[in-house]
Amino acid sequence: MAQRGGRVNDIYLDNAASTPVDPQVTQAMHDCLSAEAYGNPAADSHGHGAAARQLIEQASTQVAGLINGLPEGVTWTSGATESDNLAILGVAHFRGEMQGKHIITSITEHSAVLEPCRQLQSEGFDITYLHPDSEGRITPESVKNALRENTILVSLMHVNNEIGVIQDIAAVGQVCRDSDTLFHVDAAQSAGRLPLDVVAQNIDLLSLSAHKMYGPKGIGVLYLNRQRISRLQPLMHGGGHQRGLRPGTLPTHQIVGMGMACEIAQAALDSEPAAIERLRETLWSEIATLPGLIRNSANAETVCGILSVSVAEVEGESLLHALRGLSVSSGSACNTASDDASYVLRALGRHDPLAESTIRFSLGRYTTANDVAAAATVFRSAVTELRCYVSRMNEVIEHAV
Amino acid sequence: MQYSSQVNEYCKDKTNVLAMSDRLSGCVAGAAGDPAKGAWVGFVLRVDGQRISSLKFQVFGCPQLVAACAYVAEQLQDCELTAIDRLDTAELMLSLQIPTEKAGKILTLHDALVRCRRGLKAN
Repeated sequence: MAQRGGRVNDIYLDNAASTPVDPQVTQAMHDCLSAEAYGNPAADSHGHGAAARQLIEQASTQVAGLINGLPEGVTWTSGATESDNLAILGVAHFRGEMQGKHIITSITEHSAVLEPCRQLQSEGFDITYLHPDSEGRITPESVKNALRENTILVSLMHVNNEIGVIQDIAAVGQVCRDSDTLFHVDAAQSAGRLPLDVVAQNIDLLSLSAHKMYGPKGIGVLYLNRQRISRLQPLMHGGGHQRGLRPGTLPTHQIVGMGMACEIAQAALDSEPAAIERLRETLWSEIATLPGLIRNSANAETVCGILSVSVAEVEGESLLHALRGLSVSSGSACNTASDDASYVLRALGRHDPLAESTIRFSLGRYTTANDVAAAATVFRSAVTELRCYVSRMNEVIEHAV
Repeated sequence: MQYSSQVNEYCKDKTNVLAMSDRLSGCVAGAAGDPAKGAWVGFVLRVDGQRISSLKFQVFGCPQLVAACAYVAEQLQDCELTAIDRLDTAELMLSLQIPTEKAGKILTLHDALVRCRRGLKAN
C-alpha cells in the first residue's frame, strides 16, 4: 500500500501516480529471481544467459501483444521518462541535421516530454507547443496546421496524467503519416486502460511504464516501428545492448514483471476499465452535490480512473491536508517539486488558486466501492469544514474597510 | 509536506473561527493578504476596556497559516491589548514549528492583527 505522511492505511486513490504491483506480477518476478535465469541475457552463448534471454523475449512478446506491435520493436528502458527522452532526443539528434529541426508537441505534456524539448530549443531546434481547448484536447487540425516542411516529430500523450483527457491519437497519427512525419505517443497513462494499436493508430514511437499498470517501478519500454525508424541517437553509450539503442545489462526480473503486467492488462481490457469507470462516476455523483466544484474535462472523453475536481473557496494545501486518510494528488505546488500550481490546469484556464485547489482522484484495479464511499465522505467533510474559514470573509473585509 | 503536531492540532481547533452566529457590531476588524495570491487573514476583535474579550478569525491559506491564526486567537484571549504589539512572529513560528519558507504567510497574519489594533486606535 502506498502512503502519505507515513500512514499506510490511507485509501489509495493515486493510481495515476503509481499502481500497486499485481500479485501475479510479484510471483513472476519472484520465480524469475529464484530460477536459474540469473545469467546475463547478453551472454546467451551459455545456458544461463540463454535462459534469461528467453524470458526477455517472452516479455517482449507480451508487451507487443498489448499494443499490436512486434517483439523486435521493444526497447527496454528505466521507465516512461527515459522512453520519452530517448524518443525525442534520439529522433532529434539522429535526424535533425539532415531532415529538419522542427518538433510539435503540446503545452500540457508531461515534463518528461517538455524538458527534452526545452533542451532541444537550447540546441537550436524550433518547438511548436500546441494549446489545448478548454477541455484539454489537442485537435488533429491544430497538429496539421502546425506541420512544416522541416517537422521531424510530433509528440503527444495519449492520456493526460492530471485531468485524464484522451487525445484522438488515431486521427493525429493519420495526419502525421500523411505528411510522413514521425509520431511519438506517451502512453504511460493509457496502457492497460485503453486499446492501443501501433499499426491502426499509426504510432511510430510509443512510451510505456510498468508501474502505471500494476508492474514494478524502474522498467519501461520505448516501442519503435522498425519499418519507419531504423536508428535513433542513443542517450547512453557502452555495451551495444538492445541494438546499441540503450546499453546496460537488462534487468531480467523487472522485464519479466512488466511482461506479465502487460499480459494481465490485455486480458482485463474488456472488463476492467468499465468497472473502474463505474466507480469513478459513483464517486463523482457522491461529491457533486457540494457547491463550487468544477469537474475538469467534464465535456471530453477521459480515461476510466481519473477524476479531476477543482474546488472553489478552499486553499489547495489546506485541502490536501484536510484529506488525510486519502492518498490523492493535488494541483497544488506543495504536492509537486515545482513552486508553481499545475501548468496543465492553468492551460485549461483555471486561475492559480483554483488550480491549487484541484484534487485528482485516480482509481484503479484494487479500488473498491467501500473505498469510494469512504473517500466521498472524507472529501465532503473536508471541503465543508474548510469553507467555514472563509464563510464570512466578505463581511470581514467590508467591516475592516 | 510534513506538518508539526502543533500545526495538526491547531488546524482542528475551530473555537475562534468567526461563526455565522457571531455579531460584528461593536467589533473592530482588520484584514490583510489576498486569496488570489494564496493567503488572506481577517481578525475580528472585541475589547473590554484594555482587555481582549474575544478575537475571532477568518483565513484562507495553508495549514500553517490556519494553525497560526487559531494559536494566536487562543493565546491573546483575555490578554491586555498591548500583547498584540508584542506579538513576535519568529517566536510564533518556533512555537508551532512552522518552516521558514512560510514566513511570508505568517506576516499576513501579523499585518491583519496590526490593522485591527490601528482600527481600534482610530475608533
